[in-house]
Amino acid sequence: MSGALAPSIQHEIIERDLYATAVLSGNRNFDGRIHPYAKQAFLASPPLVVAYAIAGTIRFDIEKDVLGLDPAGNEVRLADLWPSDEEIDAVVAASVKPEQFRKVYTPMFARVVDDGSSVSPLYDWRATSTYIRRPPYWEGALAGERTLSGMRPLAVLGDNITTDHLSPSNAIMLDSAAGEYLARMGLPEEDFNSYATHRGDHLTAQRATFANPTLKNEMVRDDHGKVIAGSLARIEPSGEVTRMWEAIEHYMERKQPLIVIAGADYGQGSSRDWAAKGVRLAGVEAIVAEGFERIHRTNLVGMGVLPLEFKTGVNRITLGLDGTETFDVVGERTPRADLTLVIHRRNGERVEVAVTCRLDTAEEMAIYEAGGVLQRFAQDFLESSAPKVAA
Amino acid sequence: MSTMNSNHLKPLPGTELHYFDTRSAVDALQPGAYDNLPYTSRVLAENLVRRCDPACMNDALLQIIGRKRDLDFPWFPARVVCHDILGQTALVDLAGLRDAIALQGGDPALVNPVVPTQLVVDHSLAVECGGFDPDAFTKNRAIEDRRNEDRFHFIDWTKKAFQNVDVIPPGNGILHQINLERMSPVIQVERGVAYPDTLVGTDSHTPMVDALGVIAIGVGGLEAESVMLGRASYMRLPDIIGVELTGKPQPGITATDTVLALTEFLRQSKVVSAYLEFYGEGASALTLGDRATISNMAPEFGATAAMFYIDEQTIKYLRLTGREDETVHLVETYAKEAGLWADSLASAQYERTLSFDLSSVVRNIAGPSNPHKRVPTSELAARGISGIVENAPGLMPDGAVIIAAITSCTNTNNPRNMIAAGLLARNANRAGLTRKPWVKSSLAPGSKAVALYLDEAGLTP
Repeated sequence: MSGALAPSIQHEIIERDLYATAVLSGNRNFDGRIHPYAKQAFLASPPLVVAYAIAGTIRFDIEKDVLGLDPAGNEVRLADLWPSDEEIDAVVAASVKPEQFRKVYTPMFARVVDDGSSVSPLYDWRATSTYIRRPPYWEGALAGERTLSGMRPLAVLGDNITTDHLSPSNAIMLDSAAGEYLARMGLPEEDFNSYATHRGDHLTAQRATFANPTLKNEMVRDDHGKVIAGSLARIEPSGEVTRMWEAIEHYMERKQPLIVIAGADYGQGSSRDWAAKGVRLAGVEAIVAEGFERIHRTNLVGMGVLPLEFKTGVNRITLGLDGTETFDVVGERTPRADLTLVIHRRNGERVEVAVTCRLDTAEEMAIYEAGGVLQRFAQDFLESSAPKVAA
Repeated sequence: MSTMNSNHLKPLPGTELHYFDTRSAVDALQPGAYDNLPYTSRVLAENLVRRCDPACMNDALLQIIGRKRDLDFPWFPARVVCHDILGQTALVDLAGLRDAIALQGGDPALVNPVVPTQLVVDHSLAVECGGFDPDAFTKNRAIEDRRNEDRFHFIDWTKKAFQNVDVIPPGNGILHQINLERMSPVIQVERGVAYPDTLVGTDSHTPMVDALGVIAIGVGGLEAESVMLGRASYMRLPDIIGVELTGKPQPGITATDTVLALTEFLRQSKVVSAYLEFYGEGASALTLGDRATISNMAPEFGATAAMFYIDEQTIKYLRLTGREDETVHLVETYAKEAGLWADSLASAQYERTLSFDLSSVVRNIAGPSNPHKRVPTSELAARGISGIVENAPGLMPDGAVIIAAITSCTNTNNPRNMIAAGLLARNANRAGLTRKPWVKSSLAPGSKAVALYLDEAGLTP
């Protein structure tokens, strides 16, 4: 996660629509993740990152091109700067020492003597905080029953939808739904911080749902039928195209049960419970995909959202889904059971297709039926007359 | 406090401690079976022998022994680790849960994590001041404090209000690196009983400490909440794949190059959801830092875990990172006694094995868009990544690198990688070369120890 760029650089990138990039020694480089203005990101070893900072562009051929001239006027290439393995090993052996780790960690993990002050067992929530807010999982729509019928698609999506599409982590832009909310709450733009830091406040965090500008919701197309990228949705049945957040607000207001249709590998990327919480708060009751990433699927179950998997060879394209349909899920839910997805097309046609219930274990069944992890805990806790969680 | 069984509890020779003799429990069901079990199975079996309800113990052990996958069995992670984003949302949820319980007449103070939970506040540091500002780190910390006052107020409350929650305050480094360099004891001791450390973490890169032989699994925040609250985590026996590493990296090849090549290889080998176990001549020669760079990227392989056996390299690293002698001694003693030391895994049998030659790795980058899209640096032009380098005065070039960041525990845990970057920067500096003015360069080491050893080496940027 990188913060703001110098204004002149940001300005030039926008003005000239420049292809700008990031090079980092990290482990993830999905588009738009590192910085909104770095269109693409590359992973490289730490010494190569230093070399690219000197080169200044990804167009540079890092092995062959000349990085610059030394004071004597000789051409300097990567090979001239790369340290030998022997030198690296010698410096590591001479400089990395147990004392350094002790110096850092001994005080960090020293037991703090209890100062005797006690705090209330209940948190005193700050009403104006955009970081920490009492979560809503026991009230309102979330306490209501999930019907799994008459669901409208919030989005129809392709393959490889990542948690960065579902609930991005990066810097919040002023013109985003979350940015507008933070501005209304009186935060200056330079203090918006990243989406990630606001996940303790559901009012900010839910506005991140599908807020990734690279999202391709197949329900939103241009005149030539090409999918338009952006945090966009088409409200049904009116067909009005809006920003994703306005669609979510509209559906929440009319208490519309929702569904998300997706391709393969849904939910890959960083584990992020807001990728499941966001859709649940929007009113999504089921996700039908060609496949789910492991952690994200358990997060969906943990939030009481039903993950359903298309049978091999069946998908949104073979079914000809365009987002105007409504959906029901029927059948008895048991681990990995076949359930029926009933599709009601706009022309009145009714199609039934078998899907796999991706509640994989009896434990997941119990969590789902209770409405999620927290709901189940509260139920169990209150049912047991002798509280059992005291440590 | 967790409840432990008593069968198969024995004194651990050379210590004052006891341990659960998993070998005897497993061999009682099928003589000689323990010798064939992979590392992961041995640790999972120990967890069952120690914690599983005796009524379902044998059925669960038989799943592991018979490599069957028709029954879920419980496992009880010893710890839960969270970074601030998911950890904090988990604690916000628990605080909300207390409200909900109080509203319905329950005692909110009784809602507490049962499993020790370690929260490291690490993800909130956005790099606002770049490397060209000598006070960058201090300024970033000040900006972080100003923006996050509400969050720190809440975290402060959780430290006092909840039992079993440890909070590592901001500015101390990245969760996985602190976990690797300090928090993982490798072998836990609880009430005089030694057992393998295991954990779940609310981040997909939690498996980094798999490098130490510690089963560490990335789980969703909600599942972590469930484990915190004392529920067993349930699993079906995973596919456990042996990955033999042969050969030795060529000169000038970093662990990053190796892991990017491995990522491509393992993605193609379809290891989705599997537990990988690396072994062989190539694996034994890898330093713990290099192993951790590999284990860190388990999610990019598609794998759930990327384990290494406990061996001399593990011991060497525990000493290097200043662990107490007693801890180091216990790790070696326990691992040798319980069959977790590399030698005793020579007899492990895998249902599937792969082989990867470390000497085949060339210098790489990966991208764009995907960590498994590997490009050898010798083929940048052929792949259309490098090309015409624009050099118009006063204008940024096409493809401008606006961010050059040495970041993430994948690499900053690894002393060789950090020292190599420092030496290259020093060499560039000596040749009079500097970064381009539009490049926001940053170094975000995963722990404070990195700064100390870079200082010691005279390589501080």
